[in-house]
Amino acid sequence: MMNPDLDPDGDEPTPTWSCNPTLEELYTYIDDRLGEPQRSQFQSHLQFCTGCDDIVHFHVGLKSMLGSCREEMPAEVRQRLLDSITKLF
Amino acid sequence: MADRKTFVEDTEPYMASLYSTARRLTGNQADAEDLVQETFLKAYRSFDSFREGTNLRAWLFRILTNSHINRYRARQRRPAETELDDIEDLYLYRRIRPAGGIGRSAEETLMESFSEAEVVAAVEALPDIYRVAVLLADVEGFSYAEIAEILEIPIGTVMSRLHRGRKALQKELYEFAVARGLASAPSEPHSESAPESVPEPESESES
Repeated sequence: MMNPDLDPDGDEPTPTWSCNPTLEELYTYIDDRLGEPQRSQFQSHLQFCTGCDDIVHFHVGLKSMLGSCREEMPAEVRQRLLDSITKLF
Repeated sequence: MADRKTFVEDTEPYMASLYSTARRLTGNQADAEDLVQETFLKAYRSFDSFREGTNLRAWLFRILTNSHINRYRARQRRPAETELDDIEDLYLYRRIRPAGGIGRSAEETLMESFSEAEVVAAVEALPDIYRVAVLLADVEGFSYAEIAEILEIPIGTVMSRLHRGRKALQKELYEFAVARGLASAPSEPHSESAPESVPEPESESES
């Protein structure tokens, strides 16, 4: 996916995306760790490649599903913790 | 140097997320409460050494994860890395996405496939070493650099732990999907229309 073939003349890289992102590559993009110009190139690819776009959406959805599984702190736990901190003074 | 007088007002905003993470690390309310209490106690004692203007949230999470590791060191199990490396890429997508049907968005497929309780159980089933990384990245939203600081490991190691943790998580979730009849048994992945996997580059090994 993110291995643009270099121009044989050694000039500008010619990005030729193939549709087989590895999980590591996907998350590099999703976690916003993909540098330029790969990031813009991949985004352009997603605009016309529904297969890759679906894969990205699936993994973004998975990440946000994890993000929403937080555990609420019960009020009594919060109070006990605050009391124990206050005792330190 | 931080002032102990402002300790409560400085640290209190992070109490809820520390507790949430502690719940996922310990699996129950009583141990989570103990762990957060220990974290605040240690943080208070060494608050003088915290440099104001640096990342207080990351500093507190560092104390929390260190305390957890020290408590449960004896219980830590570390799976054979080859076991996790054998999990193919896009493991979950290839197996449950086709069941989503045409016209369904990837998000809809996911939401229909797993309950919140199943997601929590899948996270809690991860080995500690990977669970911590996944929690910090995907639940708490820390950057790779912050996670490296919290766990005191190189960024390459953060990435390899996250990678393995996410793969293992997908495998756990898939088992729930199979149990619910939403996906086929492991021997029959729906891969006809999916792109072929390519060999992955060597992940950085743990140091």
